Amino acid sequence: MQIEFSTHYLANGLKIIIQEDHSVGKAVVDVLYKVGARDEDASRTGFAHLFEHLMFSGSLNVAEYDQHVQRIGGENNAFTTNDITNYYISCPANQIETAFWLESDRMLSLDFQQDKLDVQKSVVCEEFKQRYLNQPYGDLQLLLRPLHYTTHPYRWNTIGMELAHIEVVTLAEVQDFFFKHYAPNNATLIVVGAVHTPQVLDLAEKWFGSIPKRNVAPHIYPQEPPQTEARSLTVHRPVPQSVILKAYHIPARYDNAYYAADMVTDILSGSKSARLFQRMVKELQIATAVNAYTSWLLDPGMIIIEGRLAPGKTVQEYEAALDAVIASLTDISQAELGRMQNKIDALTTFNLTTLMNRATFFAFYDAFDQPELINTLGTHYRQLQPQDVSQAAAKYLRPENCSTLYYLPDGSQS
Amino acid sequence: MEVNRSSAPAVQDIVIPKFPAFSMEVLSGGIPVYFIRYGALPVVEVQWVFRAGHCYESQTGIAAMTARMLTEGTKKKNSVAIANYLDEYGAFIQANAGYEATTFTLSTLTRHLAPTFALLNEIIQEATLPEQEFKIEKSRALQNFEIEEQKTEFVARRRFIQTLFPAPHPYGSITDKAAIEKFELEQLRRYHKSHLQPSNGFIIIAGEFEPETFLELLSAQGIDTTHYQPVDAAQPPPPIRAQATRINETIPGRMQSSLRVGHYALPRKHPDYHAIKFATMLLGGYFGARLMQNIREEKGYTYGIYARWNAMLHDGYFGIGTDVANEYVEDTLVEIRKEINRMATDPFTDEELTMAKNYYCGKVLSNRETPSQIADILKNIILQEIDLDDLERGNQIIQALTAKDIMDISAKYLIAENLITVVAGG
Repeated sequence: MQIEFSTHYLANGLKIIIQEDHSVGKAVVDVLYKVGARDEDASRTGFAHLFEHLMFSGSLNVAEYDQHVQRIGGENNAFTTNDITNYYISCPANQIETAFWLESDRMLSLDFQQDKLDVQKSVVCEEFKQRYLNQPYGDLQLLLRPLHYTTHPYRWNTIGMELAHIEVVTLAEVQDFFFKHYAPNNATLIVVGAVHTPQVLDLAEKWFGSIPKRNVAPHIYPQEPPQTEARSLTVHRPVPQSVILKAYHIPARYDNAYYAADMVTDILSGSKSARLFQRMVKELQIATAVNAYTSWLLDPGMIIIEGRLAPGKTVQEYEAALDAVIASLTDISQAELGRMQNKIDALTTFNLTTLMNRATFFAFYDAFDQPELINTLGTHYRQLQPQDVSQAAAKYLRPENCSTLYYLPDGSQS
Repeated sequence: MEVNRSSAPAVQDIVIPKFPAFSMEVLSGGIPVYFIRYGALPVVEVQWVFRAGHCYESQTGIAAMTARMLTEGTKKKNSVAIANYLDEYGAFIQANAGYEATTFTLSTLTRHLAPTFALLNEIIQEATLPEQEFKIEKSRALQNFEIEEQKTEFVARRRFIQTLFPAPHPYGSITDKAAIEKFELEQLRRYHKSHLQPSNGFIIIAGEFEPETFLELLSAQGIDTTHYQPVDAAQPPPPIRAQATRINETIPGRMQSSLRVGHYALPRKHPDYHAIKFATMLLGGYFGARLMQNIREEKGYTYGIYARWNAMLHDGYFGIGTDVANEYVEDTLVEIRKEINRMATDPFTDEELTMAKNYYCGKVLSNRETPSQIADILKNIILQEIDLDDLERGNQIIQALTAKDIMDISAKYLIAENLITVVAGG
């Protein structure tokens, strides 16, 4: 299943990806900015995400963003990661000019105002509490990052290290951030749906063409030095069960070696018949849940193995069992690998089902300049042989490459 | 030439396409099968819908737990073999239980429909509900709920719905730790035999497929001649009405509280349904709604607040939900009451109404994008016993509503004095 799309550039550096699909009268207009939490100053973490909120508080010519989207029968939202900030509008296809007006205006300039900044600071603080501080296990990832990363900005999470960083942000800093990172030459416009390419290009030139190139901060980040010995951290929290989180350094997303590392997680927990569930939950009953997954990071990221200890079992028993499962990865059958390859191929098709999915995947892949992965992702996994995956497991799932977070109930022994 | 950015481009007409065509066939034994050929990708979804769920249980959560156990083993395959079989085809089977139905959904590439449907049928008809797997799944469910019950959102939601519909009313059923602890394997096996059988289900197939091919598959599995005998609809529960009240549930150490505020509403078939549903949207159903604009955008008290009109077959409830810092709780409750009252006294402007109606149209269009969404809409029409025209009529009713209509319908059905308020948190 292949979808066709085309790539274009405006003189100011704005990249445009267009995918025509006339089956439903809808379109998605998506703007990807290549800025994320990794671009933040270490004393102002959470900034990129706060900034994403501010993008909805008014731009130069548009006092209020959302009402215009609603008026055209559209919906919009955005998200921020460590690497990117992505904005999207989904609307009836005959309304896309309004989307172009809105997106180009806020790429041109925001309407920076103190009272709006104050409200969004408050909203973001409530989001921080709701998602990370008020939930059992909510701060797992917040604790993991500074343990696993000592130097690279991935050592803090997108939401930020602490509420205090968000509370002290000034309007001047917000303005500065905008002009350093929000620019046509640091962005990709993605349009999918019942549109016509020449019309989209005309609209792009009309609305985005006059936005000047900017001096964007270079995408250069302090490299994380190799980890040479195991690390760990133990915390106690008011939770009912222990969680053990292990993170291992893996290659960058844009490195071809990523695929073998990712496939390790599929062999471990890509199915109910996979090794972690069968061995640790079913047979030994040492865990009530266990999952292996890779992080959605562009620079060298992580394999994470997260497990919840069964009542009456010890951390030592858990770790011994996990070590044995990891050791078993020297032996992977063609059949086992084949099933995961088939699953990934099918998922690549299922992921094309909605326009929104397509636009989002274009954004993720274009973040490292490989939008063609929307069609070819499966082939990278199909090319792997069992020994490629075994070698990746041996290379990355080592204690010296691992940071462990022991997240234990209050009052329990480490 | 510099473009003029000072005014918005013209808004075009928003057209809601007609609900996609579908056909229905009654098999020789009586089982209804619905065919929706839709979508541009070579994928297909089969929804096997059984009359099972909270309204068909004598014990909370039995339907969902039984459904979960069916994929744990059949006479011919254990759970590992089932998982491997699905993975080989890149297919998925999921089970979902609600009030009126328990649905098994198969998602597959079209070219694998035959073997994957054969597996789905095997799961339904030949599941063994093995003991060891049951012990593990029960234990896992208990562990999950031990965590869920620490969340302010879960505690508030449970207390709210159980105040509105106290046990044994099925609309107040929440599967929690206490419910899971009561599960016994023999009960689940009996429930499988009584409720999750082909005789008690109808089938919807949506996506890219050949109806003849699917009919042949049904025939090969013997489903065409299975005698259709759906379980009797449960007796409509008696209408009981709790009084307006304020309930606090303290969860130590929480810095935010979850608020659930609302009261009784109307069953789905009521003629006022569409109008009050739209009014509720204006109050709290999208980002531009009054609650969101007040409590999030003006005051910054919350990351999100919503209002929903829930209409089931026999009854309904209206509910507002949000999570706010403990120190904002009382003020938020005051503002919620204010906004409810304002719906009856403060008219929306023409501009606001047009925006909301357009947003609503866009939402309808959005909800009809994929074959899976079409299947869901059709399933709900069947289960809620309404006719297809109701959807189109509803759209027309909403487009014709005036600001005065909104005030009148709000005065009639959104009543601050009737509010049941639950606050769960610090």
